[in-house]
Amino acid sequence: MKQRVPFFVVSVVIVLAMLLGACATAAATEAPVASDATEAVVTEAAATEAVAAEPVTIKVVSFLTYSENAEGAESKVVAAFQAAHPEITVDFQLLPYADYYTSLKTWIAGGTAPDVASLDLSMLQEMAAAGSLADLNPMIKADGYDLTQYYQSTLDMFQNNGGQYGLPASYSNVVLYYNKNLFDAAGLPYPTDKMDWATFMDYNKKLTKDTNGDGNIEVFGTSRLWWPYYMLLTGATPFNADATKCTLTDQAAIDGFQAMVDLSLTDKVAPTANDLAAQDDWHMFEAGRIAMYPIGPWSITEFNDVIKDFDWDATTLPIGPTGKQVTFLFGNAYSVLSGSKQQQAAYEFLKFVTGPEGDQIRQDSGFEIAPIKAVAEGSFLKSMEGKKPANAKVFLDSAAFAESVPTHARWSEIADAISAQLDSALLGDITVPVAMQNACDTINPILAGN
Amino acid sequence: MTTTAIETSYKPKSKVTFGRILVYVLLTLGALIMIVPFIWMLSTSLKDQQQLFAWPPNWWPHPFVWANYTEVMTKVKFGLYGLNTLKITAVVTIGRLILCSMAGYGFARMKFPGKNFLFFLTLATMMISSQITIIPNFIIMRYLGLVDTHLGVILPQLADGFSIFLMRQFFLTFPYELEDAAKLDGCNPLMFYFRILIPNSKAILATLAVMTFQGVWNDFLWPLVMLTSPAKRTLSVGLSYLVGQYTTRWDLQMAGSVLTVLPILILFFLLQKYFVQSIKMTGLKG
Amino acid sequence: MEITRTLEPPPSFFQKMRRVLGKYFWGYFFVLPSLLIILLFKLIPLVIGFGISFTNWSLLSSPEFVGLANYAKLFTDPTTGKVFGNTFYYSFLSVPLNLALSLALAMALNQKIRGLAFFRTAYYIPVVAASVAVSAIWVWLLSDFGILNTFLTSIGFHSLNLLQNTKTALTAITLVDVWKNLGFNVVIFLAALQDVPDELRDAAKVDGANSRGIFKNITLPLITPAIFFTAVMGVIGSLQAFDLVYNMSMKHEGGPARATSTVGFYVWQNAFKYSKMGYAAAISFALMAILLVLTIIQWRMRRKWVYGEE
Repeated sequence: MKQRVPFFVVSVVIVLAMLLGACATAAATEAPVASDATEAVVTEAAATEAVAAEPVTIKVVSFLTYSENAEGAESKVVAAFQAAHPEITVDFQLLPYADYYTSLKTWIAGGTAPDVASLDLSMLQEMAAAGSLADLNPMIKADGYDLTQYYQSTLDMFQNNGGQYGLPASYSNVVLYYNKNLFDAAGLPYPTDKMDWATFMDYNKKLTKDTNGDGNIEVFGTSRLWWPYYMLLTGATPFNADATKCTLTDQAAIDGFQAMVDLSLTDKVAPTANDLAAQDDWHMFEAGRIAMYPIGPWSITEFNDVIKDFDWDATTLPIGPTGKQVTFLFGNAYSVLSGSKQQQAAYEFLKFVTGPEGDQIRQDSGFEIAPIKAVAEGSFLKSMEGKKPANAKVFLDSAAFAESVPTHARWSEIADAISAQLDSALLGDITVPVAMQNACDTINPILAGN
Repeated sequence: MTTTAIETSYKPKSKVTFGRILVYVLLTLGALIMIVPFIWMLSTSLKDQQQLFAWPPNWWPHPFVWANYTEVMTKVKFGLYGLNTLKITAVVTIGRLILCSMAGYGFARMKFPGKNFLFFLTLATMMISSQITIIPNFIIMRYLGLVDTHLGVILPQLADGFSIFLMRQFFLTFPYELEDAAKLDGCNPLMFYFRILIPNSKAILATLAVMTFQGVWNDFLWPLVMLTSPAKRTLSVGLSYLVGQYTTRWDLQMAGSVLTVLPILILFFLLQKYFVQSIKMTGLKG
Repeated sequence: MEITRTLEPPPSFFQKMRRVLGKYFWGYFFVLPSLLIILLFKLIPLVIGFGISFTNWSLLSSPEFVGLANYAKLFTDPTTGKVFGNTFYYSFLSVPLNLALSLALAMALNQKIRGLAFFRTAYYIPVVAASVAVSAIWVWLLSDFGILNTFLTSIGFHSLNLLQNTKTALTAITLVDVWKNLGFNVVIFLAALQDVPDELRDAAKVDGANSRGIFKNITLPLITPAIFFTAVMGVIGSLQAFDLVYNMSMKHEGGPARATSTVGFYVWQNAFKYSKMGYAAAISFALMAILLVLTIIQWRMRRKWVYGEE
């Protein structure tokens, strides 16, 4: 024992010194590289061709188009880029969404970070806040790249403190699918894009049925959306504008989450977690067990293939209890990592794969909706001809009131704190105000930086 | 129950006794609990998307969708990934059998300064989450230039505390008389290890082989972060590609799981005779 | 023996080492290859991890030294208490249960019975099946339409929402853990039972010992090293439980309401989901401290009951 202690202490000190030393030098070298690249862009803006002409290799990782309906679409996008830019070699890896972020963080921490990565909204915001992503604005400005061809809301998603940290590659709005046969059977008119909350709940109660009288509900009026929707629905926010104080105990937040809890617990018109364990809401809708199902465009291909027994269409999500109409905006982007030594080539890659050509290939494969207006309005609607929902325009119309999930450098921690409390509220173990008070007790220290 | 079991196995004639029936009933019940989920896995792997989440659920697929198997085989490149996995698993298994049985013997029977400390250090390495050590390990591999190589996946797994500890425990009960006799015959410890210890420890070596094979075969996170080239991927990593951002293909996932489990079960059957050996001997008395 | 002389290695580095180390040479010879691997790929990462626990490393940006702040946070973070409590419950339930069941099963499977190969394989299937698949199946089997609740409702009881209830979810996952890992210990015990020499049992039988006596005085002592092994490994493994919690809790959240979050799960959440590698390392080393104490206690006590320990 006497010999072990000094050895142990010494080794820890050495390793710690190595660790801190290594990271300090890494950080020191990173920053100049980034500014060099930016300068290069500014000075050689006119000579983009010349810069790009040097043979370079960029490493790209992506989880995009991994949906089984669209396998390999992203590889086609990259192949098209290779054809258009033979001077840039792309070392491309398509990775599963599961554990994608774990791998990416390991590679960044381990010093083998890629130049370009696809990211979803919360990953991107976290990495932008940590300084891991390059702000694209200087390159966009120097290049005069036309951003107006994108839907503005899709660009906004990927901004942080005025910086543009990614270009959108795909996006999704959530809309409300409805089973026409169930509405016909109940003698109800089909829901419209101006349906208010009271009507929505009235329909829900009339559509929810225990058809065989066994005490279990066979058909539900609707299903619950991911919880942040109910916060957006009443205009509530998880924290105040400068993210210093949790605001979930405000009446707006409590009203929103109460509406959510009521759906399953009080009014029993939406399946509970327990019901969903047996059959999830996606397959419940396919089986004709949900009358009004809120879902995004990733469902289109499968539902068209699978649903044969009933007719269905789509409309917008209802207007909330306080008169606000809102839908979720999800999106994926491509970003350049701040540690990349090939920022210009990486930026060229981004422009191509998120631009009209790349977007077109992705859109043709049926993966979400293209953020490039021309592609979405031209190809998306055209590709929907003869398919359901007939009212496919609703996906584009919903963009008018689409909002994305709030962002914060430590959003996943905040989200888990809220989610855990909502679990208890949904089980009826605690009331919504208590749940929100508990959530705030956890969130406030996080906001304070602990 | 257990004592009754022993008793019956030593009776000259296997009489039908209450205890024996009870053993059968309990064993059968237990086996049912063990395999029912596996039957569900099989049945799921033979359903199409519609049947998968049908309600009420069916145990019997109708129709049988064998296409799931062909689809998963082409989508996941079972041949290539299977070969990669087999290569990694075989090398690690053989390596561990040799290295860890040696270390186990050393720790069980040899005397040398620092023995207990070194053994405890070995145990201590199992007490920290792999989530903490995976990045340091990755950095070491980068310094060694082994990222994106199968060798990089194999090396750190060649020896582990679990296997060394297991071997040590089994060598503790090895009859001392044999070791003394060997010494008198002029055998050095290495010769004793190869000629007497290993040939007489088939059961535990078979056990370690099955366990190592199974663990490395299913290993996921380490090959995922280490192997970046698609051509070098392993099966478990390949299968995770069926999990999409919004949806998961459970039919294919289950078909893939069945195909992944089969090689291990085959190995288990093959090594079965080593477990059964002692039964044959006691059987002679029956 | 003739062979000895022919196999004698020529004077070399090998021999010099033998001379220097004398009677200790063979000990080091046998353990060093493994220890080298363990030092390089297990111990050094562990020491680096220990260093990380004194930093605020987020994986994405450079770490800063924060002293004992992460360890101090263990005592103020309300979730820590919850996850350690859950983990001890998990361990105290699964280790003894697994040990008792697997020992009984191994005894039963070590006899001459019909269908032996089938039974042995059946009990080993859960061990080899991937956690992801097994978890999905159990989530379904424990749901309202799974076998358990179909049976309960058919005999007039209410269905049990085991996994969606904060009071029962952890127990359910723990029992699935026992189900999954039972075969692992069975195989170890089978190997141990095989090592019990028949001559010893026969001799005892000749001496007039009954089966109970044979089990107590011959079989049991000879498999104590295996029991010791499974007990130590069971504690180490169960206190770091992660896989099933991750895969069986909805959306990988360790819920409902953190009811199933274990230390291993919380370490993963902090390390890779919250990007708080420093804090994750501190939690992990706190757990390691507990494991060290528990293992040392088991180690000290082993001489009292484990056969063959000097």
